[in-house]
Amino acid sequence: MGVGTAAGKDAWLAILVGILMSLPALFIYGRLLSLFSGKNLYEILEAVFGKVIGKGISLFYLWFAFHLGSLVLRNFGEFVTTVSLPQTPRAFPMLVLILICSWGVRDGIEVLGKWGKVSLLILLPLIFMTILFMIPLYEIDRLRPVLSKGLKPVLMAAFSDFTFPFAETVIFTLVLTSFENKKQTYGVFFLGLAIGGLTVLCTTLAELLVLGEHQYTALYFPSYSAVRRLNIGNFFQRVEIITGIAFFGAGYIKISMCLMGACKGFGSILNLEDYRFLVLPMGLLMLNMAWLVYDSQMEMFEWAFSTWSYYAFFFQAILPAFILIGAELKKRKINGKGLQVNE
Amino acid sequence: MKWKGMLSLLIIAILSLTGCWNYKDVNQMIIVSGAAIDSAKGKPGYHITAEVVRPTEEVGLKGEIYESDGQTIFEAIRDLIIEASKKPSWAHSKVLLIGEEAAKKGTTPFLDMMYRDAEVRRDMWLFIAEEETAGEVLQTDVGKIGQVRSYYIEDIIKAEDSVTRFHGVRLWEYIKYQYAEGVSPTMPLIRVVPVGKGKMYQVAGTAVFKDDKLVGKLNERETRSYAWIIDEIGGGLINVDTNIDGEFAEIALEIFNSSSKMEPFYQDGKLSMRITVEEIIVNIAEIDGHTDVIDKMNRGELEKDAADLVRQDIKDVVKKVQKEYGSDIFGFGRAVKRHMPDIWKEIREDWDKIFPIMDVEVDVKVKIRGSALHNKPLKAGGGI
Repeated sequence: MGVGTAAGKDAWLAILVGILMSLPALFIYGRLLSLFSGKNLYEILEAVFGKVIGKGISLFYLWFAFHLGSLVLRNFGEFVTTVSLPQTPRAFPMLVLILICSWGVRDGIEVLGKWGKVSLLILLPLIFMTILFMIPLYEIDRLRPVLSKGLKPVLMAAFSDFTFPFAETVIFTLVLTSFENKKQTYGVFFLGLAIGGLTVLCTTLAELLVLGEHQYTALYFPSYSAVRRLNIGNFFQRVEIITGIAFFGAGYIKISMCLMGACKGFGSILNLEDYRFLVLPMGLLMLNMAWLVYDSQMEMFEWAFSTWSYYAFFFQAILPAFILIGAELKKRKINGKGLQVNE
Repeated sequence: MKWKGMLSLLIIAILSLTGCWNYKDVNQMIIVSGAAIDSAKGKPGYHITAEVVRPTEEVGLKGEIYESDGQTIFEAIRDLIIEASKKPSWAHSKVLLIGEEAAKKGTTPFLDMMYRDAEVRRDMWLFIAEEETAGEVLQTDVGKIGQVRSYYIEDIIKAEDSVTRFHGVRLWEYIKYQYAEGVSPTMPLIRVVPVGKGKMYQVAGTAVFKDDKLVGKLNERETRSYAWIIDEIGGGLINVDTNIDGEFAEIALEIFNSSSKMEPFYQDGKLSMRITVEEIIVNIAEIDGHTDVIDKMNRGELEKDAADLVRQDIKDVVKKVQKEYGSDIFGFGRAVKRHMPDIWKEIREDWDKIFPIMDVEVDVKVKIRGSALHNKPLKAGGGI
């Protein structure tokens, strides 16, 4: 999916602004996790606000993780049916993916982490190699004039970029618990932002340089169409499957994280010791949700680019800021009494 | 010990020396790939045109045409041997073309043999030839691609799902509908059309039967509506003219899925039929214009336009069949029999009178699922 399409040919600028905008949000996430090390957001909520209110807020995040996972899953289904298998019912590629995700989540965060490392080693070189190979197709004029429509669309698009994809990392606060030291909690988010932001920036720039503004905003999956144009000496061509691989490999991690976040939330609200037996039912529920959530492909894009930002901003910025204030106060109170929680 | 030796010798002999009674090697056979049946000219009986494939050492098969007359079909088929030198095998025949003349007199006399015979396969495809004779169609020279014309015709019919301009019918289906109560059979039409310098086959439209007699024809568009009613739409497309904010555009919608059902009901004491086409799922495949039909509001408009179009088409074809042919090819009677068995018992005798005056209510829903790769129409004249 193209990001920051509202800004047109300035989408790349919007991404830069979006990255800057997401820095404070990521700081909040890191701070929260470092204040209560060894606890995920659900446990922090209970520690800060008590059982009833804490669980109430937990419900919000449970829903957010569940919903986001379904949206990504649906997105994947749309991608497959739109670009390559139009006759196949959308449910089948989605079913296959959610089953693999459930498998990964059952095996736990370690396995997913290792897979993340491995897949990054495969996907990043693939993506950047494609971007490099497309250089002959670039035309710098496609970006000019910069800021032709003024600053406002760029800021709007930056806001949209903030909520999708950068601040979606709020999901990690639900699943990551075991850090080696307190500094690492920040490192995870900022290193992630650096790698992810750079990748998004480069792919968007490449897409804009190859396709131009109108195509970039009119296509559902611009990266796919951009890579389609790639043809080096009639030999290196028809490699658009690379975008499919990237979509699948990265989507797998994203859905798995959401699924794990949702399962952990459910487990924590019901005081369950182990979340694992929840994984498959939760995954299948996600599949249903993904099936029901949109009526059509058009609706998906309308929703993703107009409604999602405002909806997600609540979970990504407002609620975390509120929780952080509560957490800081609680921490001071405890420290003031001379008590130490965890360490 | 002696009998043991004898027995083993016997077993070895039985296993190694016997064969099938009527065994024939493939190079001793000739195979009928397809046939055409016409009424014989100027005399009672039938005229058969058979396309025969002779296995050769050369690469590629080539069809040969043989013709013969007979009082009965069986006689005509047997007389083919005189011309073709060997007894043709009918086990691999794929298509059967029927002349209009013969079909108007009734299909039972000649389809009986085809259906009864052990060698002929019941999954043969049936066609009505829209030319002077059916044999003519089979003899048309369609150039290189149609080396075995019957197989070529079979390939056309197999692509039905993506065109829906005809509805393929196999021999067993035809016979089944002929037997069934409250439903009449149909066949697709085949004709020869000029293409460039040569000629080509075209399968399109539907022949309507009443009992076993040909009574009329439906064109391509009516055929699509017919397929909608009997729930046999596999794909194809709908062309819709839209008028959004005074801008006209022709939109092609690709059909992915649709299902329909029919239900009889009473309205003011009159037996009526409700046809519901539930959610034709389509993609916007082509926008011939600059109107943004993908926009939320316009999409609804387009869905409504498409549904209206399909509903009107269905109403038209039902009316035409009711008024002009009076043949229940849609299976309304069968629906009544299934849903209201008691009432069917009372009216089955008069069904031919009831069917033409039945009221029909049509409900159609169209849902646009996507718009392929683009979310906007193509622009001409710059803009932005």
